[in-house]
Amino acid sequence: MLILQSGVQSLIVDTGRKNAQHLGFCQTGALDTISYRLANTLVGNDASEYHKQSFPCIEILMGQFGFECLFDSLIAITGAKTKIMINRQLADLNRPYLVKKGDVVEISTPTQGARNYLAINAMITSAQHFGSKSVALNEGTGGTQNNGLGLTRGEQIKFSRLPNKHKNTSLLMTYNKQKDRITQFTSKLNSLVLSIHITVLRTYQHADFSRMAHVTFYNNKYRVTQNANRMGLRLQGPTIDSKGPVASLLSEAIAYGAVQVPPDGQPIILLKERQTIGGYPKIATVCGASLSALAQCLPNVSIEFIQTDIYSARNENLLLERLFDALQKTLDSE
Amino acid sequence: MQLIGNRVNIRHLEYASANAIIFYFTGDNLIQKNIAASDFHQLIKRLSPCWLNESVPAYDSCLIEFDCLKIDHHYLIKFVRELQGALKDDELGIDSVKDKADIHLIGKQRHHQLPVWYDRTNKETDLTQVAKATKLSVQQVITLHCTQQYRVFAVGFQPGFAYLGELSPQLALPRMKNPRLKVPKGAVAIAERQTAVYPNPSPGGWHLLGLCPLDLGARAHSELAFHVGDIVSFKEISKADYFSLAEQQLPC
Repeated sequence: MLILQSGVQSLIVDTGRKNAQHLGFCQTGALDTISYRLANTLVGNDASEYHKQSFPCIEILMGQFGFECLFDSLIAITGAKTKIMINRQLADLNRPYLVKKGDVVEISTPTQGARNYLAINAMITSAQHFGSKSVALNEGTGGTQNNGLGLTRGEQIKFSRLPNKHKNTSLLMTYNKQKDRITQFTSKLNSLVLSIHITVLRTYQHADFSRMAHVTFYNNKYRVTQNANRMGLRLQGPTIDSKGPVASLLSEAIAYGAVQVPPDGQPIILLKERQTIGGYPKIATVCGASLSALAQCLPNVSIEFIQTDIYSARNENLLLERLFDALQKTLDSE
Repeated sequence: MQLIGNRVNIRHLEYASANAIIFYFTGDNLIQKNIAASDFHQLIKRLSPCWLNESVPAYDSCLIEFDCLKIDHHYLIKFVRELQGALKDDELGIDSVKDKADIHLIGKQRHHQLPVWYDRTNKETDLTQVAKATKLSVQQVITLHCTQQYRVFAVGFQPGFAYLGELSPQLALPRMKNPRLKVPKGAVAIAERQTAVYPNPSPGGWHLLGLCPLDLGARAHSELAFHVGDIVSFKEISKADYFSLAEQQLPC
């Protein structure tokens, strides 16, 4: 795969690291887990293998990405709403395409959302840290050069486990037969990640915040500021009373999606490249599909927080898993 | 909730996310709380159940993140409850790294000795400012800093960054009003009752006392990584030793 256009930021990502945070290494991984997994599923990167060894995808921020194929393979692009061209022909999001050696694929700037995921049914070869090939921008590790940087124009990505012809055609045949059913799955998943209604769970110091703080947090819209990246999203909106929790909180581990309220009362949501520990009080934690939706929020998008409980949050995760299972089964059917 | 022969007491727990719980520990002082947190962390790590994604200890807490397809919150709480009496103290062993020259075990704690070059030149440095602010001589500051053993209370901020405490109250100073945009790699710094070594260049508001030639960023990837509960001490070295040690550090 030869990179013709690398856009704002295009990164190698996968499911992220495990068992690394106690040493101070961040979680990292695909920011929109759902679209990442959907892209892999659509090209037949096996779900059972997905749990054992994750297939890296390319996470593309704000489009303007293009590449030339150097071998025949299946590709799928998911995530933000955007225009895709394969050899100057319009192509769809959320479906597998067979691309041949020499084909050129281009992704435009999205019209809704921020990130696209490009999956190929082959394994990207690059350095691994704590079981993950994901880039860690702040640590300067991972990625094709293992320097924590994105892809660059003119770069050639190396692959192993190249796809075989038979697998490519059989998956496409199943897709064409089951297209309507598969589209139902993909549009459901796509609508989840493009939502601005963010489900959260009361966590950490929630009980120390005043009643007014909760009222403010759950009944107002918060705007994503320019400080939005893989580390977290700084929000702007009505000030949340942060006098409740003790000011000199001892630093503690920060969960993925935790919503910190620093003394200025403007919330910060922490994402996959967050610091492992921190000392600001946390009022809630984003859960389920909303974690993926945060990856699609660009500056100036306004989001709303909706409170859920632990059972519903768990249920949502399990239902999501079943949705992927069902999609996988459909793609596996003859 | 009392665990491990009443030595580890959980004072409080909270959901941290849909698949994580944070446990807070009791103790007479910060060291006792931290010992409980790191013992709990080590026990969980040692048992390493198949559903464990992350166990992240800090000052007085430990977060456990699990695979929500394998267990739920109830199961985790039940699991932790049943840890009581699961292991006796002496079974809480730690992987032996005895053969490494600069790291050895004191009892069951790992000990890291870090060489530091304190810049004793007469120019105006953080070291001289610290001496002025604490009304001590430069020699006294250095002696106070490197005659003590420190405990790793937490690891974070960046890979290989260990929060070490507790610094002698005589050296306790508030953070700088204007944080530096760039602190050099290996900088040995103090703030409040904490000290630390910056593994990589980064912004920072602590007072710099000297430089450590070891590549702590690279060590974070190895068995020499800092873990909560480890013991750290500093040893003064000369400028020449600093440069020769720094040169020996292999890029990882």
